[in-house]
Amino acid sequence: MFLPGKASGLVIMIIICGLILWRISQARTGKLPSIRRLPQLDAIDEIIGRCVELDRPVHVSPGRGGLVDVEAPQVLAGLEVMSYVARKAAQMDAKLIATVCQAEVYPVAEAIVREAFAAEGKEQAFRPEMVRYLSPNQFAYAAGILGIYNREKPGGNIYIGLFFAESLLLLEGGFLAGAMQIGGTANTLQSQFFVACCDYALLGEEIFIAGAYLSKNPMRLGALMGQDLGKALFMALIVVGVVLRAFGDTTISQILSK
Amino acid sequence: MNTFGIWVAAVVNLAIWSYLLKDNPAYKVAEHLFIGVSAGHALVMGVGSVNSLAWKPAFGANTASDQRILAVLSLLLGLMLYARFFKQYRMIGALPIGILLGTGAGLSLGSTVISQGIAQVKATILPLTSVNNAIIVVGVLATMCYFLYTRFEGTPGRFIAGASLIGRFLMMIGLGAAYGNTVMGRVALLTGRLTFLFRDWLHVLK
Repeated sequence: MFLPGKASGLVIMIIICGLILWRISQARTGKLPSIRRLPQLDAIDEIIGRCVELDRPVHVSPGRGGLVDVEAPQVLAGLEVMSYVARKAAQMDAKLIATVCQAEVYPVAEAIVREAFAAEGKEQAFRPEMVRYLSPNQFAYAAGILGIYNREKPGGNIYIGLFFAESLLLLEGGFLAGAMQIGGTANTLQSQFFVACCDYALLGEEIFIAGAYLSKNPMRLGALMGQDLGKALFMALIVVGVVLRAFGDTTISQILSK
Repeated sequence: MNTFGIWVAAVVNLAIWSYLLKDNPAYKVAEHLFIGVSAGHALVMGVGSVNSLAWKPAFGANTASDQRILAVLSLLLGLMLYARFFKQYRMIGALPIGILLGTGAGLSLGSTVISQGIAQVKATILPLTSVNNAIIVVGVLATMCYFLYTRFEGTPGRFIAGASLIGRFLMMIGLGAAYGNTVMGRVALLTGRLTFLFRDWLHVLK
């Protein structure tokens, strides 16, 4: 009925979804533990404030991915951050530049920024040129952003999303241009550049919680805590599996292969 | 590559490198050329995709009726994206955007659980018969502790904080190694460009 490895995936996915729904229901009744601070995300407001003080634009990008591939969640996480940044920029009258790399992301990004400005009652302040489609080619995209650094001199760069080999060019260029930077990607081959070049770096999976953390929405924080339980489940499977394996028992591995 | 192509590639290469000095007209020309060419290429590829995946199946002669319906629906959804250019019809564009986002999230949900959850767990269930295996098991568990966001109090809180500190330390070692590895890769890319300039363009190297 199932391909090997798919049945266990379905069962675990159902369990994790159940845990998330349970935590969301707890959040509705106000019974939710607190979450730890993430200074990297708290610093987003600081970046926008700095840009207002310097009268320079704030630049935000969700990276290079599309919306319908396996890496899409990273782009969606970046778009959530873009929404928050756009709202804050509208509140604080900051100049905003949002760049995207894929044509399919452009209408979504434009709608997000437009709605963020509308939500703050500043729809008139929205300009279509705030959201820019540069190029689907990663190095052409990087070249375009280096040009923006030189000509428009953003005071802050927020790179949260999916980034590949262009990341070091973007981040090093931003550093040389004197911009304060926050960045993060779940692409483990690029995370080191974010750690090296950004003032605040999000490591791997931290980018996925950015939306929930920034919104402070109890329902979304409940979902986040449900995911924590999912991780605890995986950790328990590893511990039990390793202990059983020490006695020559491979039951857990066999179950997970079904 | 013909002589003209080699000259164009070499000059554009040098124009891009001129950014290392400062922003200048040569860099601007190369930047706009690069972006324009890649955007033009994407446009041609996009038109080709619409033609082969939607237009021909929708209006071609030899298409099954179910495929024709799907192709027409795809074309309609694509056209609806353009409604955002008209203020009074802007909301129509929300439907295809919602479908795009929902499809992306749905497709990645199952594969994420299987490839990044179950596959990782299976790869970590190792016999503790070597130091390497022990480091992998402890490293994975400690790193996972770093990615727990719930704030715990008392003894569990102290235990998780300690474990996540170890996880963070191990991640930094991994990131440092990856950084060094990438620097080596980038030096190889630079060598490739220098070889092109000195051998294919200037004929200094044999």
